[in-house]
Amino acid sequence: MLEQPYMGTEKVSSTPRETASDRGPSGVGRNVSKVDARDKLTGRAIYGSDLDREGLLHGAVLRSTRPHARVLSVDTAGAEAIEGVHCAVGRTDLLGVFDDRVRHYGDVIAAVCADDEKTARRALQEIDYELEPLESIHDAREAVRGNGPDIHPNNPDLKQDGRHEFTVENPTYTSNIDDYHAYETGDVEAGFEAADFVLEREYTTPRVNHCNLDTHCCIADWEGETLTITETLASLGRNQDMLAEMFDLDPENVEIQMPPTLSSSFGGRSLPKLTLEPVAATLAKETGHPVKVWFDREEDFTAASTRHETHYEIKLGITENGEITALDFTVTADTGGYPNGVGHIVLTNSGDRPPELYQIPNYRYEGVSVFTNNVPGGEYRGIGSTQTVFALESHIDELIREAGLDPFDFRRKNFVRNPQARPGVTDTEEESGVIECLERATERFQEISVGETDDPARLYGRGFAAGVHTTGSGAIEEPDASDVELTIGTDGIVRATTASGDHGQGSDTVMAQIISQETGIPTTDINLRRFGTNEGLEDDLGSVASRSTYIIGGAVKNAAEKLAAELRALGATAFECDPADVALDGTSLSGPGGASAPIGDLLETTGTESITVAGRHESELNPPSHGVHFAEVSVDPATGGVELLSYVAVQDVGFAINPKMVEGQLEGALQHGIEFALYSEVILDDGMPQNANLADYPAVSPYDLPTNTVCEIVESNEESGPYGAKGIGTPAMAPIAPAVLNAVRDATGYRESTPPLDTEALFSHLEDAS
Amino acid sequence: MSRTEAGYVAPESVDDACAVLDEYGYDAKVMAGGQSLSLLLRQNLLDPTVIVDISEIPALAGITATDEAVSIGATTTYNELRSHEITAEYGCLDDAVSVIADEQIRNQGTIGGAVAHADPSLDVLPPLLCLNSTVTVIGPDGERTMPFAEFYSGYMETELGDGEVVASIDFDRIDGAHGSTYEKFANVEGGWATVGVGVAITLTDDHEAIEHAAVALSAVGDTPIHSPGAEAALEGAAPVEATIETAADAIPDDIDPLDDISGSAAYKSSIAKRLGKRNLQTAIDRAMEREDQ
Repeated sequence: MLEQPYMGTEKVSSTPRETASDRGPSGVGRNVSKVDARDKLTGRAIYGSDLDREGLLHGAVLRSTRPHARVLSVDTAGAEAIEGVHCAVGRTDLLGVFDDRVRHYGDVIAAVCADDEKTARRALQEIDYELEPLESIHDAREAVRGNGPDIHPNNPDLKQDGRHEFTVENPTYTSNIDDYHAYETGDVEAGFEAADFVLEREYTTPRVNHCNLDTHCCIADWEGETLTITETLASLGRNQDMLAEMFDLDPENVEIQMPPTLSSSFGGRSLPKLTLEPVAATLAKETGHPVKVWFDREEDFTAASTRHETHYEIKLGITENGEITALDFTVTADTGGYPNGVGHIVLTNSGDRPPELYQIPNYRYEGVSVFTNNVPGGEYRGIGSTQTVFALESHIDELIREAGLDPFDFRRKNFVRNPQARPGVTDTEEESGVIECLERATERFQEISVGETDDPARLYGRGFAAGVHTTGSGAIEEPDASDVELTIGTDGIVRATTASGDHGQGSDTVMAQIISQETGIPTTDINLRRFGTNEGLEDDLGSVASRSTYIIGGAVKNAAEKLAAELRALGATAFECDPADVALDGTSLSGPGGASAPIGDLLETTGTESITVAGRHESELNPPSHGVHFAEVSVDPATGGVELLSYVAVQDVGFAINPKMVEGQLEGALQHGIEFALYSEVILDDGMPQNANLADYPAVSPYDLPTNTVCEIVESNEESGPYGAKGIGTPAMAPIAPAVLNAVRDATGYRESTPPLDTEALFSHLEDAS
Repeated sequence: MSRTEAGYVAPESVDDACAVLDEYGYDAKVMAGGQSLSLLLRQNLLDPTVIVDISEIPALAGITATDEAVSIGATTTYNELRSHEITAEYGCLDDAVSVIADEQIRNQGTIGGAVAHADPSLDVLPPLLCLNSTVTVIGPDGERTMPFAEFYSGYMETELGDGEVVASIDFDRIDGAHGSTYEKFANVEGGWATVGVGVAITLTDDHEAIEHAAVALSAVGDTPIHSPGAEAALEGAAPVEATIETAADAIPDDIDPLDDISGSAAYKSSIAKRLGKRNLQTAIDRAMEREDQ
């Protein structure tokens, strides 16, 4: 299938760093092999679902197939009578925030614990229960206006993270309000009066699922009053607090331990799931055994989380010269049946992204996240930003077509170069890198574009889009911080204890490269371990929001610098010289006059045994990370099918600590991005899932990616990041869907405003036009 | 990995397989490659007591091609068929086995499994219908052979009796100016067919007329189905654009697609017509080229 050569990645350093001196093959800026690759490829890696425990029991969840109902009764006697079953628990007896109503397909009615999973799942069939169906509502815009049942009171306290007080300024928003954000800068009405062209459109984004290969799995275990959760759960501090609140425990009585190898996340592992940890914790408490609950694929689709279906009403005004005069941006996000704090992030990011990307003198933003009887919304790569940038870049593409303007000039004129302070967004002082992204992407696209195909029956088009997302979470108030501990012993191995979770993105390798950069010790002699809760090391968020390299990497650099100083001091003692004359020479230290010895030996002979240093990094900043992407498509008018011919992704990452892994992030984002644009959506019919399995839900494979792809790295040198680095994993998502769908618009005249692409609507559009 | 805990046997002879099937009846499920069975098990739609893996039975394996006929053993995988030299002669088979799912599935999934599973969306079925194949089944009472179309009795229903398995699919070699193709439209590369159209054409020796035509479709009826209207418009007619147009226009009347998540019935009818037209042209072009060689 690989007809064309893969084009690979090029790296362009606009402002090369002078400080990142070459530290040999495993320092920063090098394509160091992933430190976990061998174990993963040889099947030795132990994931959470592989774990066993002495006395481990297995839980299963009886789930509602109704989207909204009152649970009138649950009789578990039949299940408990089955051999091998240890206990069965009805919904209202679960630990946590469970009342007598189920609020979405897949919500919990009861749970069973048994010797093995199969017995537990079979026993579910023996539970008698009675549900009283309630009216359900599935359109967030109706739910918020009171045109349906109240699923919760407004802003309910269900122990969710990030809950805050708010005042709803919109009188039509009366019900089911999860969160609400609104602000205005300038005079929007005057801005529209000054505009020569005004376009109003609506967009709705799809409920896509992460499709993590390893489905969600949790082991809960109690020792006295202390609950231990073993699971790939990214945000330690945040989740410790949330679970403690939920179970009415002191935070120190909740321990979260990660499995040896983490499962993929893409946001899917950031937060607890309402029917996972509480169920496992309850069953473990009831039985006095450790209990594993492991979702099957349908549960992952319906009871874990998806990207929020998000609705946009956009009104944009521009002058005939292509200057933006005003933007009115109204967002409604579908939270699903329960609050989990992610509505707040969707709304923060939806509001903040437009003025981060474009100079908008007059801007009105109103966002609301709303309870419905749909499956849960949650964190997913580029939370809110992916949806917002799709809507905004589609809208701009349409308006400048209407106005007959040049899309490149329009961007150059309106891009934010030096991001300015605005509500909710922290200022940074440097160039954003977006102009360079535009120029490089334009150039590279011209080089690789295949152009019109020789098949006259196919339609050809090209499109591009810019995107932005923050490094680190822009949705938290406090400065973000992370602790690190490094130890080196007489075996010469560095043991690094960090909050970095390697979900496959390569953060362990990045951390090892940073340590190697500062100490000279090769990455093969550096072992990484994630700290758990209650180890005296602080980190709230873990590997989420593209903060690993920026925040945790900053802490690792801080610690590694201290370790380097300690090693020089060690060498100075041993070689009886000045520390400045000690060279860090891989696994050895060298002094003047040819003196040299392995670090481990020196620790032994000096009786030091080991050196331990602590590092920490704090940042109030969330530097935006920009990208400009181009897509080239051909469309088959006989079917409406779209083929992606070529793709160029140019992304400003500040500094690429490992360019090959940046490329991996861009290509992985492309896979997720085209799912959103062209293929994938959890389809609900009155809340009932229609394709909650991987046979019917189209997760894309590398076959769907064009081989004619170029990823290019722009390095703008972010002053606040380690070696100038900032985030890549989530920012890479934002420009993809609009670039692809702008290309489809270019080819066919069809504007997809409710992705994934409706090939039937596109087909009909072409039939009507011909 | 499926979490089923069904028993598993892999008999090495048809007799042994039939004995297990006879013993367990409905509680036994036959597996060849697992392409379809694995999905049903994973979704808990089936809960068999025992899985009878027939992939180890030599009598059901392999492709035999003589000057007169081709016999495809039931446990032949898609990729085995794809890489066999005979397949290049039958474009519709070659095309179909190239667009099924992904490489891993093509290494596992079998022709006999697809035929027995009888899901009308499966891509390999229309080509077998176009090639006028027969299905041979084997069971406690010996072998039976029937025309491919008669093997299907309804939606995912076949004429397989108790204890019987599919043994082989056979078709006669086609001489002369023969060309065929299969193309599907799927939402995503390797995905379920929204509509698939198979076409096989044989031209008269002078290329002036279509001697024989078969048009068969996937995903637009309870079973893989012919379009008799299209075939009637083609047979005896000149292989020209007007004929193709008339034949393609006849396809929608012969199919019965459903409204579902892959599209409306009207959309599927339109695709069937458009792909039908394109594929008729391709098959005729291939027939002409083949004779030229």
